[in-house]
Amino acid sequence: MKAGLLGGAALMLPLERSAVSSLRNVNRLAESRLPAPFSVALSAPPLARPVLRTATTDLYELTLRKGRAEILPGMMTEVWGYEGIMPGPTIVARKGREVVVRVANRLEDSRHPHSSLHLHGNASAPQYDGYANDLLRPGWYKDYRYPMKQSARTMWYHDHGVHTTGRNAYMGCAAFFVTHDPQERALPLPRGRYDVPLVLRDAIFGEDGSLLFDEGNTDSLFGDVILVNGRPWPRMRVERRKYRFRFLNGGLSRSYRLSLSTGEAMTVIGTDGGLMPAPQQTASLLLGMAERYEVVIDFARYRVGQQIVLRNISPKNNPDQPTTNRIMRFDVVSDATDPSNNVVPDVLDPNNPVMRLQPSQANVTRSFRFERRNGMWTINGKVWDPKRIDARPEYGAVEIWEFVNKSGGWFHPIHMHLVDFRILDRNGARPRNYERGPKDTVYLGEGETVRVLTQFDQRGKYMMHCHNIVHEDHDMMTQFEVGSGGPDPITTAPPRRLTS
Amino acid sequence: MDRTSRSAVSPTAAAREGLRIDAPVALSLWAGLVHGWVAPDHFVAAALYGWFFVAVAVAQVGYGLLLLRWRHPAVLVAGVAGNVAVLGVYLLTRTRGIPLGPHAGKVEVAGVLDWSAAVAEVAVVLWLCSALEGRVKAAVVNGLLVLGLVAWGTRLAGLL
Repeated sequence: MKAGLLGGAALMLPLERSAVSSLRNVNRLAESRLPAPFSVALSAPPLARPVLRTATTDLYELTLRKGRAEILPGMMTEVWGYEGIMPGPTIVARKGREVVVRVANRLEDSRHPHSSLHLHGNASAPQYDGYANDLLRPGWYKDYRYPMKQSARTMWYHDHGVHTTGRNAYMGCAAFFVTHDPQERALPLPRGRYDVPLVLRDAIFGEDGSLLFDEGNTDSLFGDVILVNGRPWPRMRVERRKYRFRFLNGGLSRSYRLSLSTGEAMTVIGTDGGLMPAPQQTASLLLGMAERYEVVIDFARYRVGQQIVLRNISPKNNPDQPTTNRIMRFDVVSDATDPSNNVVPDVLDPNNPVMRLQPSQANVTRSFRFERRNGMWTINGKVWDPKRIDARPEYGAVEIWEFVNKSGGWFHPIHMHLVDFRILDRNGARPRNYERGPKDTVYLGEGETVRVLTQFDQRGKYMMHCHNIVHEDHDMMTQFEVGSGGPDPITTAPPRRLTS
Repeated sequence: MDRTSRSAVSPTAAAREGLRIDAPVALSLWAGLVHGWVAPDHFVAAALYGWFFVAVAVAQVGYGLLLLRWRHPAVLVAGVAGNVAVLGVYLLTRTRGIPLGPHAGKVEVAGVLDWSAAVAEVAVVLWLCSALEGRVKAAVVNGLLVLGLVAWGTRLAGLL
């Protein structure tokens, strides 16, 4: 009896997490209780307002905290997010104007040991890049400084805390960060209310409306509810004109193949790193986790009253549910009320530096093998170790990086921090037409080999990882160090304790 | 009762009885085999973890073999201490997270295989305790009681 007390603790407490996870999945909301598709209106995340503006800098303050939201009609859901909302507030910035984001972590929960903020798509200094082990614990804050030297693009900021990104991002710790520059602004592309960011993600809901996260699953997490800007299968009222949509896959493990129910082509104008050299037409768009594509859809070709569904044909190894084959619906409600900025030029950004790189400039080729080995998610047979550097490109070097996925059962969206890259080829063939723009995340499909070309122009340590966040949390992550003498990502600008 | 009284016997008595492959031997071997089986996985994560699992596997298999012949009270107490230490690390890694190394803080998820090893270790500890006698037994059991209270207390305090 006396000894059994310890035995009970040793056997029962370890099962607590798995038991909670399993029980919660049993209590998931039945499909019959999910809202009818297209029954709720699309909403847009609010714009973040700077708390201070100087001649050179905008300062934003974001509090990471819990909030409650009516995601499914009639049910309240606990979310974790910047300002307590999901998605968090959108930050809009201009090239050349510094942005400082002060993040205060006030998220008290035993399941939230820490956070770290990554501005995905930005060439941040190492100490502001959201290094996984640069931990922002509850009760602490950190100022992340972004000089905004890059071209206009669709970025997003999200949690990147080591081993906890999955739950944090799943609960809502993600938001858009959009930048503009004069060259992009000079183009007659749709803007204002015709420029619409759309973050797609899936989720599992419990009978009580809670977001269910499966802690025990080390493979992937696939939900049955598709959310767009936090709304389930929404509908959007559109005019008969062109719209610019900024698609982001903000989910953990699910990828999408998007198409219109009319079968007509969409015009892709931008990729992760901003505008493409030239627009590309496609009738279907493969969207891996963390990838962004800017797409123009011309609703002028439809009549008022017509409804166009944005469909999803699941790519391989995405478990289909009866509810996952549609994303949202566009309802054409009127003729255009504003005919300005309604053109897609033939040339968009012909001078993007990474798109002008040539393979002949590279004198180093590195190969990275993404595979499951001994039950673990590995890169070149290794898992994440913040003390180990797996590649050391010289400062300013141009290199070819080859990503290899020998698996037939898994796909891995590979994200390189710091850099934009140009996809050279996929299995020796040209990349898909809509991938021919600057990228920071590339879909590495089953059995595929993808080569990318990039230049390393900032010193320090940066991560590269699979953006299936379940894989990332289970250590499918490596790091490279550009040059020597770069700022240390952990000690250079550590978080500070909140005073109140 | 009869088995208990026969278990904490002198080496010579054990030798008289010959090799005994009974529950504690089998359970200790099982726990050792599990640790040995998963050791290669842990070398992928870090050499430190891999060697830890190899060491535990060797210790548990060695201890099982030791129990085949030698059941001196000191051996039994050492077995309790060793298994409790391994169980403590298990409990920590499934609640607070890995205590050391590059993955410090990462909370592991309990699976069937690791939990079966933990069950075996708990059973070995209970058997070893029951085989002890007198003041040694009282001291060991009271020590386990304190550790059990600490474990549950830290859980209730939200520290585990």
